[in-house]
Amino acid sequence: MALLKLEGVTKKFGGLVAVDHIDLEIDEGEAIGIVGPNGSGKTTLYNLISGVYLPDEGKIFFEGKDITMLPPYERTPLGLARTFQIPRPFGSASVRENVAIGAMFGRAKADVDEALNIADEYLKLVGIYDLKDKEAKLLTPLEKKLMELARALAMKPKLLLLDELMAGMNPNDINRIIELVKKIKDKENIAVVSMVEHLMHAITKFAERVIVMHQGKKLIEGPTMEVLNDPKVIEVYLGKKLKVKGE
Amino acid sequence: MNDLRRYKPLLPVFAIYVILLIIGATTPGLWQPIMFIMFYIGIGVALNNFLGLTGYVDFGYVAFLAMGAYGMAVALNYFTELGVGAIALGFFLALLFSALLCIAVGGVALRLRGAYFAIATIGVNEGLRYLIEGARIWGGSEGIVLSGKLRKAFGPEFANYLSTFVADVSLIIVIFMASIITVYLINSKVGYALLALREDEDAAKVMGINVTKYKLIAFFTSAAIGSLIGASAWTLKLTYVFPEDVFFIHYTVEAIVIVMLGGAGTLLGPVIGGLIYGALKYYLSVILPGFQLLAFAPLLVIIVVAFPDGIVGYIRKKLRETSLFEYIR
Amino acid sequence: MAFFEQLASNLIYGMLLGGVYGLATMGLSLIFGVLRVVNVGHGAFIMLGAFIAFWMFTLYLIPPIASIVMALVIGLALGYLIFISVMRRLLDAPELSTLLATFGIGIFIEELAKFFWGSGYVGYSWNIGRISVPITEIPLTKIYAFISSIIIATLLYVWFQRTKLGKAIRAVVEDREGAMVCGIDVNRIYALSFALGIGLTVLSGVLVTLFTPVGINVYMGGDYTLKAFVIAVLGGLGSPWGAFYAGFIFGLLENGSYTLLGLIPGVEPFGLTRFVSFAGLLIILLVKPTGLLGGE
Repeated sequence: MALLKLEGVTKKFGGLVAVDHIDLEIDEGEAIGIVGPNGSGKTTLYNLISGVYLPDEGKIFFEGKDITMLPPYERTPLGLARTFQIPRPFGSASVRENVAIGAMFGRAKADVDEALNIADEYLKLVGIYDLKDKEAKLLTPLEKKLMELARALAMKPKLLLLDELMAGMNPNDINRIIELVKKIKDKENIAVVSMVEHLMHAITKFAERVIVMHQGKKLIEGPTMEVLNDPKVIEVYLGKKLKVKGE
Repeated sequence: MNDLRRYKPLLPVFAIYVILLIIGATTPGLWQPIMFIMFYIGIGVALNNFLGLTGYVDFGYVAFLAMGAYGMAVALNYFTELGVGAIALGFFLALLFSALLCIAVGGVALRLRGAYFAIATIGVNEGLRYLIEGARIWGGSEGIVLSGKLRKAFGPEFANYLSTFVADVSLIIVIFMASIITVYLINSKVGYALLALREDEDAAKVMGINVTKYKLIAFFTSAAIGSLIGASAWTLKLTYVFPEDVFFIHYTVEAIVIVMLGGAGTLLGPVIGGLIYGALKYYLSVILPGFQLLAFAPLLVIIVVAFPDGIVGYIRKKLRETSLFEYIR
Repeated sequence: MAFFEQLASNLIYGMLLGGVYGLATMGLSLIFGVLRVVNVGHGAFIMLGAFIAFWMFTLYLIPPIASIVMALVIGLALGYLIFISVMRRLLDAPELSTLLATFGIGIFIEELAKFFWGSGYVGYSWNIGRISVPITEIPLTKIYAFISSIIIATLLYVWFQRTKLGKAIRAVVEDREGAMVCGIDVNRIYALSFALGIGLTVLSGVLVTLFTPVGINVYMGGDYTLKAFVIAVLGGLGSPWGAFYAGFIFGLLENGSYTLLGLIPGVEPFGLTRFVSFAGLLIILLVKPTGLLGGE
C-alpha cells in the first residue's frame, strides 16, 4: 500500500486550474523531488496534501485512509509534516519551544516535558542546539530554515514535505543539509519530498525519483537522471539545450 | 521538580495580592479602595486568559460578568429557601450561564478569523441586554433587587455579612484561583497551542493544532472567571442587578486597557495593570469623576502603537538573560 | 387594513432610512476594503456628525442639509489626522492592534465629546412639512436625507469609475502589489481612503439626525456601530456598493421587525429588534461570512 496516493486531484481558483487531475503515489522511505517552474502548481499541490486547500475533484489517501476532506490539524497526527518556503516561526517563543510544539501536536503527541526533550534531540541533530533559548524571530534566515526543519522532524512524520528548503543557501550548506536529510530519512524511515524550482543539483544528489510539473499537470515522472535529461523537460523548463550532469 | 518550577511566577503575583490585602485590612478606610483595585485586577486576569493568550479581542466581554451576576441573582432570588446553599447554587449558575453564552457565541464566532470574530462580539453585549430587557427576562429592565429578600431569609445581620465579608472573600478566592489557572494554562500543552495560534494561526493548523478547540478553551476560561467575579463583586456585594449596570460596555474597555497596559499574555501583567488602573481610577474619581476613560482610551492607543508588550512584557525582555526571568511571567 | 397601512408605511420609512444606513456603512466598508482595517469606533464618528447637525441648526439655524458639507470636511480632516498619527504606524502590525486602536480612538472621541457636551440627550426640530404618497405621509426631512444619500452614493460611484484617484483606489483594493508596481503611491491611497471613509461616516451622521432628530447623545454611536457591522457583513465586508444595497435591506428588515414584534404583547420591539439584528449577524457570519451580496 502506498504511503500517499493522489487520484485525479484538481484545484481551481476561479477560472485558473492550478492543479489538473494529478495522480501520484509515494511509498514509505522514498526520496522524491518535485520540480517545476513558477506557477506550475507545486505549492498548490503541497497545500492540497497538507490540507490548507481542499480539492475540487479527486481523492487523497494516506496509508490507505481517505484524508481528502480532513482539516490540516487532523492530517499532521497521522504522520504528515511540511516546511514552508518562507519560514513561519512562532516568533516570540524560543527555538526550543518552537520545535517542541511540533513534537506536541504531531504524530508523537508528546506532553510538554517529553516534547522539550524531543526538541533538544532534533536541535542537536540539525546543529542549532546552541540557539535553543534564543527568541525565534531573532534568527538569521538560514537558522530559521534549520529550525523549520527541526520542527517538522519533531512531528515524527512518515511523510515530510520540504518546500524550497535549500533556496538561498550556499553550496556548502546545501550539501550539508542534503546529507543530514538523507541520514535522518534513512534512520527514521521517512518519505521525503523536496520541492524546488531551480536548484537542480540539489535534486540530483537527493532524489531517487522526480516528478516534473507544468501548468498544473504532471509532465513526466521517473528516475532522476532520466527525467532531468528528457528533452521535453529541458525544453519546457530550462529553455535551452543543456545536459544535466549527475554526480 | 519541573512541576514546582512552573509555579515560580506565582510568587510575585501572590506577593502583590497579599501585600494589598494586608494594607487593606490594617489601614482604616483602605479596605474598600483595595477591594476596588482587586476587582480591576480580577477582570484583567480574567480577560487576559482570552485576549492575552489568543490575541483575539472580545468586545462583548462584560456580558460574561453580567451572566455571572444574573446567575447569582437568580439563585438568591428564586431559590432563597435553600439558605446558604443558594449561594453555592449562585456560583454554579454563574458558571452555567456564562458557559451557555460561551458556546452560543464562541461556537459560531470562534471559527472565524480575528477581525470577523471581533465584529461578531460587538453585538453580544447590547444584544443580550436588549433580549433581557425586551423579552422581560429576569425582571427585564427593572432588574433584580435582593436586599429585602435576603434580610427576610437570613436576618439583617447575616444578610449584611453576606454582602460584605462573604462577597469580598469570594472575590479574593476567585482571583487567587484565577492566577493559578492562568499559570497552569500557560505552561501546559494548551498554553503552547495558544502561543502558536496567537503567533501564526495558519502555521499552527498545519502543525496539528485544532485552533478552534483551543480558542474555545481560552474563551471559556476567561468567561468562567469573569462570571465568578460578576457573581461575587456585583450581586453578592451590591445585592442588586440592573441590566444597564451589568452590561455597561465600559467594563470591557477597562479590562482591555488593563490587560494591554500590564502586558497581554503574561501572568503578572493584568495584576500590575489592574493595580495601576484601579488605583488611578479610584483617586481620579475624587477629582474628575467619570472621566478616567478620557485619559485611558488614548493611552490604549499609545500602548498599541508604541508599547504593545505592556509593562510586564517590556520588563521580561530586559530580564531575559537574568535569573529573575523565571519569576516574571 | 390599518395593520397593512402601518406595515407599508413602516417599510417605506425603512427603505428611506436604509439609504442613509447604506451610506453610513460605505465608509466602514471602504476602510476595510483598502486598508484591511475594521473601524470598531465607527459609531463615534456618526455621533460627531449628529452633533454637528445639532449645533449648526441650534446655534446658527443652518439647515442640516447644508451641514452635510461641513461634516464631510471635518470628517476628511479628522480621518487624515488619525491616519497619519496612528493608523499609518500600524499597517504591518497584527490585526489585534488595529482593532484595539480604532476601538480606543472611538472611545476617546466619545469621552472627549462627553467632556465638552455632557452626557445629556439633545435634539432639534426642523419641520418643513410633509408630502403625501398613496399610503401615508412622509416628512420632507426624510425625503431630503434619502435623496442626499442617493446623490452622494452616485457621485462616489462616478468618482471611483472615472477619476484617476478613484481608479487608483480600486486598483489597490484589487491587488496591492500590482498597484505598487504600476507606480501608484499606496500610502497616499491609504491616507485618502481612510480620510474618505471617516468623512462619509461623519457626513451620514448628519443625515441620520434627519430621521431621528432627537435622542442625540455622546453614546449614541454604539447602536450604529452594531447596525453598520450587520450591514457591512451582509453586503460583503470590503465592498462599499454591497454595503449600500445591504443598507436598504437592513432598513426594510429593521422596520418590518419593529412592526411585527410590536404585535406581540409584553414585548419591547425596539430592544428585541436589536437582539434580532445581532442574532442575524451571527447567523450570517456562520453561514456566509463573505456577505450575502457578493464576495470580498
